[in-house]
Amino acid sequence: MDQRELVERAQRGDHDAFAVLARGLVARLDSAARLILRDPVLAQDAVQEGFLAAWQNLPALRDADRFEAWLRRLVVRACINVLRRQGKHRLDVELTPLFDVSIADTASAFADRELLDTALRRLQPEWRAVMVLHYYLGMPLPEVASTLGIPIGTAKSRHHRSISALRALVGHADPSLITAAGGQRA
Amino acid sequence: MTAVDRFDRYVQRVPELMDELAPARVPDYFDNLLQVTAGARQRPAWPSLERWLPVQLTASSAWTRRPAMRPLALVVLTAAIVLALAVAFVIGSKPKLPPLFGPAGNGLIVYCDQSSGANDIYALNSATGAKTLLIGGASDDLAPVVAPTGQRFLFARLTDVETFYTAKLDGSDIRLLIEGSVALPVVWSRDGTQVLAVPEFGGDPIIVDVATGARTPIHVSTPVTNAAWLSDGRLLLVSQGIEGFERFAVVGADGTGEALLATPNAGLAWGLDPAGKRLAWVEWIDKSGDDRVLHVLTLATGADEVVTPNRATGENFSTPAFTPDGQWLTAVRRFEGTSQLALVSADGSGQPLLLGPVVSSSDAEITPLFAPDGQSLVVAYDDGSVWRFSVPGGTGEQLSWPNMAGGASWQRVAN
Repeated sequence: MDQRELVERAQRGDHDAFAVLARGLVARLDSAARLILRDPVLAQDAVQEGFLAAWQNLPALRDADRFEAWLRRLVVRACINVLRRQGKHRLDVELTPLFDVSIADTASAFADRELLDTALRRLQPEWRAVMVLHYYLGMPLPEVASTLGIPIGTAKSRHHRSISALRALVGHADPSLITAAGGQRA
Repeated sequence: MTAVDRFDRYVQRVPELMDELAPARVPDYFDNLLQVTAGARQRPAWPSLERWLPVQLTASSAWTRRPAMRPLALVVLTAAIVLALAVAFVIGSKPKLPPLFGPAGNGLIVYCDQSSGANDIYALNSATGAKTLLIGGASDDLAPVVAPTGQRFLFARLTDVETFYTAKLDGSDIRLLIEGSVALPVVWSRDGTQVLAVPEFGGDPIIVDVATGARTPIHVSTPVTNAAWLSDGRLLLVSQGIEGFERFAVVGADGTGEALLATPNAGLAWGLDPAGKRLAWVEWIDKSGDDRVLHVLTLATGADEVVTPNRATGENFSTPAFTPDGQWLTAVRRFEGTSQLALVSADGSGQPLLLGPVVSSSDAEITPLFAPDGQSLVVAYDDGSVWRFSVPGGTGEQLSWPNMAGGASWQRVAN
């Protein structure tokens, strides 16, 4: 049974069909929520909220082929709602690193990951959402803007400034990764 | 390998690094999640009446055949109709419309309220601060834009696809405008009879007739991500250029005469003056850094002027927006880790006037909303505060208004 058939069955109340769909998508969406919210408990809340909204509103989905994009949107918006309920728009939450060091990690792989982790931790959650949607979920920026309900210019601005922040962090860690003074290429 | 190349390679690894930071796996709570959904009822497919509201149909297709009438009854009926029309014409009055562009009277502020978790649309009386719910319910309704004529506003409803509707300023008479496959923003024509939209992932811009819903794609050479109307009926096109910068072009509404504008290293934000004759754009002086200046380009002549020279190293201005009289631009000034709103003369004369609080962040989002009469502007900060400033004097006060950072549009009315 392909995804479209599963969606159509789920729309008619077949929860088993919904469970199959959900199992195929929950892993990546849970990861996206953890990357955005930086808190596994909040991420769980958001994912549950998103999937519950998906089940409840599934009969109103007009195009079964859009199920995955639609579910992604619901989970992302649930992440934003969780943030608003927390009332934490600034970095005043105890943010814990997402990963544990693996003995098998090479020094440079660990360093690259740590840099990104640090960069993400320093971003405002709404900015982090832009980065996660764009790089992790692979959404083009116009879709990111639509999903987050922000103007395309705002999405681009947040993306660009996030990249600038990452560049500054990476450059601080490795001076060879910044340009020379005056904007000249090294 | 240059430093830029090395950083570009690092950015290319970001998706993979994110995978490593948060490896995808079916979470431990998944079974519990399924129990929760299994215990919840599904909502019926069409809970909202407006789902059934059709795009306005032509009269001939909507009428059924009428029964034959006696000639005398027909004469009487006709006379009654003519009389009623005459009375309506004399006693009733069409609303006086505001001017097509430039300053106008201040009407309601239509905005998206995000405080409830679901986005709802409200109207705010700028004189009294009273707010009225226009579009509510469980759906996500956002991005309201009032037509320049002030009679209707459009908004987006997020479901599986974005769907755009229009409504009257009291929230009534909701009509489907565009269903799916286009992205924000959707732009009204000056006379309110058409809107301009772009496809969700970029492509040919589309002109949509508001009354009939008929779509006319405008075929252009490069997929666009944004578009706007110019005063002469042509379109301004925004698309992705090289190295991530933006590319501006103009084209006729019939797709002819496409011409690239001279806006090198342009990015992030731009604004058209109310007359649609000048483009304010941001040039990135240092492509890999943060130094930016504002330009104003006159479209008819190609004359381009820098309106914010760098006064100090590290100071930059972005996010330009013209005031209703076209004489000023607001911009966000970033300097030494702070952000502040600035008022800049559109001809580059004088020094920028700095307005309101200095936000201790180089990343603060500061969103201006101009009063149609051009005498003040309301500014939403991302900490939830709202300020009002006089233009051009710059005196300001903090307001106890709801935060409108989710999107707001100020109705223009006749003076």
